[in-house]
Amino acid sequence: MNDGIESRIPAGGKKIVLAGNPNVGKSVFFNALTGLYADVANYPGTTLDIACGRYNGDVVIDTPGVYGVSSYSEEEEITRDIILVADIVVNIVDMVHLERDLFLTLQIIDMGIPIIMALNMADEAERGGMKINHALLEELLGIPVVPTAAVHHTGIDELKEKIYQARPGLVDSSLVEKISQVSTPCSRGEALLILEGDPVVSQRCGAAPGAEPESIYRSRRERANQIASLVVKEAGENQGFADKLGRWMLLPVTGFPLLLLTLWGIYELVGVFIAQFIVGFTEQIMSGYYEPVIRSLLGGFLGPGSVLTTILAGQYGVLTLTVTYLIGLLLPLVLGIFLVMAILEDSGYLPRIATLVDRSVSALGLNGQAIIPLILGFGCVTMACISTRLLSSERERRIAIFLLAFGVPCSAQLAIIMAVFAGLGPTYLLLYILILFSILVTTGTFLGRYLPGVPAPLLIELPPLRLPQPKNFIKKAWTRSYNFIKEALPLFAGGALFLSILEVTGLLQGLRVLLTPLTVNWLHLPPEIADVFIMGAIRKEFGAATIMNLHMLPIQDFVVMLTLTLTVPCIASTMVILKERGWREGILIWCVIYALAFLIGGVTAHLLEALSKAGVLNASASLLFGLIIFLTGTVLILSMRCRPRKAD
Amino acid sequence: MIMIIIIFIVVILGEVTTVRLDKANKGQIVKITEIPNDRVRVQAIRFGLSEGAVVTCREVVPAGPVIVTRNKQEIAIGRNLAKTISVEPC
Repeated sequence: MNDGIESRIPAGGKKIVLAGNPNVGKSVFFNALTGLYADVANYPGTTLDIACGRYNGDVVIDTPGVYGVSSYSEEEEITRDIILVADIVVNIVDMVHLERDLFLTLQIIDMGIPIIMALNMADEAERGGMKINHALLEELLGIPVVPTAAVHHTGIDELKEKIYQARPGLVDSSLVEKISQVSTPCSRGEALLILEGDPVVSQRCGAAPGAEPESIYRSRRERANQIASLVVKEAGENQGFADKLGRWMLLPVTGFPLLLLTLWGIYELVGVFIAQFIVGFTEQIMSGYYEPVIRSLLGGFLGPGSVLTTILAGQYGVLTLTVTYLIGLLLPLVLGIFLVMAILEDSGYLPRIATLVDRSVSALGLNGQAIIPLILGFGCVTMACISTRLLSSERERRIAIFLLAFGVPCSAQLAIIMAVFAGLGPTYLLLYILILFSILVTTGTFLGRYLPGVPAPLLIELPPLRLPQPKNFIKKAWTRSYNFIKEALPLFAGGALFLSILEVTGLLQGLRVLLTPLTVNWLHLPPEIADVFIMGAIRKEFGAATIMNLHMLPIQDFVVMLTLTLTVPCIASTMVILKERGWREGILIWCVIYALAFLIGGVTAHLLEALSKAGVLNASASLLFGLIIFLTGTVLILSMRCRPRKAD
Repeated sequence: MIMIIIIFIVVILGEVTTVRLDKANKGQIVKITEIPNDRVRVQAIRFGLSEGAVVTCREVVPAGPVIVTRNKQEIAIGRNLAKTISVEPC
């Protein structure tokens, strides 16, 4: 079922699976059990990374936080499949939210898998004046229960002692008979999921999904509520500063300033400090020391200028470009963005941001969570594409990546734009902003409306705000970055090889000639501009000098900048898109974006020329032009929003 | 004909008098009576928000989501989703 994880289990070792609701502190337990060593297995066919580690010759597997297991999301399916093959489940439960968490606990118990419960956040619960009779809880569930406060390392030793005492709990009596009636050859756990109407498991086992999933869910919920009411002694009121801050984050008046402050902080950290300062430094090391050393070494062996030297260490050399990009450019960026993501995830701020901006971005077919990648895109589209992993559905990741690659200029693009527009004047800049804004909103609306599926309705839990633990988020960020670089390596090496071969065989030159109809005839630009687009596909800064030296008309400058902004920012982002969306979809996205970019660039060129021939292209006329486009966009959106939705 | 009009009026009245979650006020305690979307209903049961659950409307983000609480648990419900959820004031 899962080679990545199966291959890591030593002979005779047990599979200990950590499972629990989101934000209950699973990763702290994982770290406590496995120590420093952890391995990340990419679950087949998904982008989710599952952490595996060793404990006493057994393997410990972390799972994504879920409220229950079935086939409602990617996370759930993975957690379900890992729990189904577990020998022991360590169920981590947030004591403060016992009632909520018991649903998953009871579901795993009903699956008949040996289980032990870690009743976590005991410190937080006590501070809130809450007490739980865990002896009674043990009795009612029929499984060992260990109270813990994992961040303070309380109760971890007791959990380790009792971990092998995990046992199947007391199954809902009304389910026992029904489970035995499921006739297909499948495990006990699978039988339960079939009864609960899980379509994937039913198909896998060749059985018809159960007809009354909801009644099973409903009675389990009632049982959970009943057990919680019996064991929770007193529930105090908790109105601390975190509570108030959490409230401020939600209300527009205070929420938007707080959000702006956070985004500014992230931009300063990742977009300025890391993307400019650190990356400038690391790139200098790579291109100033690493690359010359490799070149002279290879030149000595193979002779400078030989074909093999160019392929291995030329401008796009496999040994030069790949390593420079991965270590010099991508590693600092990825580490920075994963660090920010881990902190945001651990703090509980993300769901609040999503709630705050939900309304504003719903027009783009996205729900509130998508605002984060979109903002990050102005720093670096590559890392923003990686951060779309935060989004809850495949559909939203798709829309966000498309918008990022298409209409969001990254800091490198912005730098050139600023330089060129400084010579063009504010009218063109305004026109540029208006056009870009209309394109972004129109594309988002269009995708939101016509992509299959419905926008995921916002239904999220707001976890309590917590101060993130440095040990936790640093480890999380490092593991993810390492894994990312490891996966990106072959992709980058392949891309570099491809470009080198193009150069060595002279195809790069041929491509320039090939592009003339597009550049000269359609965009009305000088033929040399092809270089800008070819180099721009690799990295936008590469072509910047060429633009400055060509001395084109203002209209031509404008058209080049607009088209260049709309194309995919660089080879790094192209590769990340391919990696995140898969080859087929990635190539499709790339082609559609390039086609649209040239289409819009050409139409703008023709329109601007027509306006200037008519002698009306002065400041106010351009402004008018911009407003017209802006209004067209708005009207398009309104008309699409008013159209009756197809029945869902 | 009159019957049809009466039925029509009854239906309209029923529609008008049903309170939806998006109309709830801040601080109001309501009982959830119906969640029509199947997927959302199942997810809500796992959260602890089954039909019949009594929740406090903690916050209504202007033109945005409704935030309800139950036993220290806070759940944000998008405006469009809240419009479909029927509640009963208690």
